[in-house]
Amino acid sequence: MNNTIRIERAIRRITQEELAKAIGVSRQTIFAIENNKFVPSTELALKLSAYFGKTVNELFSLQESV
Amino acid sequence: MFYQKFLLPHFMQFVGTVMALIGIIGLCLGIMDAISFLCYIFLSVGILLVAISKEKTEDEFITYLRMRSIIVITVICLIYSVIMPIVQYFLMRNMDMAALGRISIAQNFITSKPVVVLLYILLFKSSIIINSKSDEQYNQN
Repeated sequence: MNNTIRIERAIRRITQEELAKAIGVSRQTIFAIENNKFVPSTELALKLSAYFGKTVNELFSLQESV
Repeated sequence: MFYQKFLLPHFMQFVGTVMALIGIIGLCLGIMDAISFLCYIFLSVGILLVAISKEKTEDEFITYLRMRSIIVITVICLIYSVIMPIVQYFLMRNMDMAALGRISIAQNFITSKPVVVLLYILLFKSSIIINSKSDEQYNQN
C-alpha cells in the first residue's frame, strides 16, 4: 500500500512527533506507515484523514501487483 | 487492545532489568548453591517482568511488533525442537562422556525459559529501535 502522509506532513511543516501526538500514536507508528512497513487500521486511517482534511482514498492507495 | 489490561506498568521494565542484573552478577560470582538458585530466580523473574511490561507508548504498531516477535520466537522454538533431536543423534554417536556433558549443559541453557523470553525481548526491542529513526529533514519548523 502507498500513502502520501509524508507529503501531507511536509506541506503542513510538522514533524513525525507532532503528528503522532496529534493522532495519539507513537512516532514509530508514523515512521512505519510513511515507509510502507505497516498498514494502519481503519480507525487510524480515519484519524489521519480527519487530521489532514483529506479522504482516506486520497491518502492511501493500493500498490499495483506485479 | 484487550490484552493491554494484563500488561504491567512501564516502570516494571526498570525493576525487571535491575533484578536480572542482580541475578547475572550473582550467578557470575558463583556463590554457594542456594544463592545461585536465588540468583537464577531473580534473573528469570526479572526477564519475565521486562517481557510483560508495557512500552512507554502502547499503540497498534507496538502491538503488531509484539505479536510478530512472539510468532517468530514460537516458530524458532518449534523448528529447534524438531531438528535438535536429529542433530543430537548424529553428533553424539561417537562422543565421549565429557563432550556429551558439555553439549547437555549448552542445550539446557539454550532451551531454558529465561533464554527464550530474552530472545523475544531482544527481537521486540530491536524491532522498535529499527523503527525509531527520525525524519531529520522535516524536523525543522
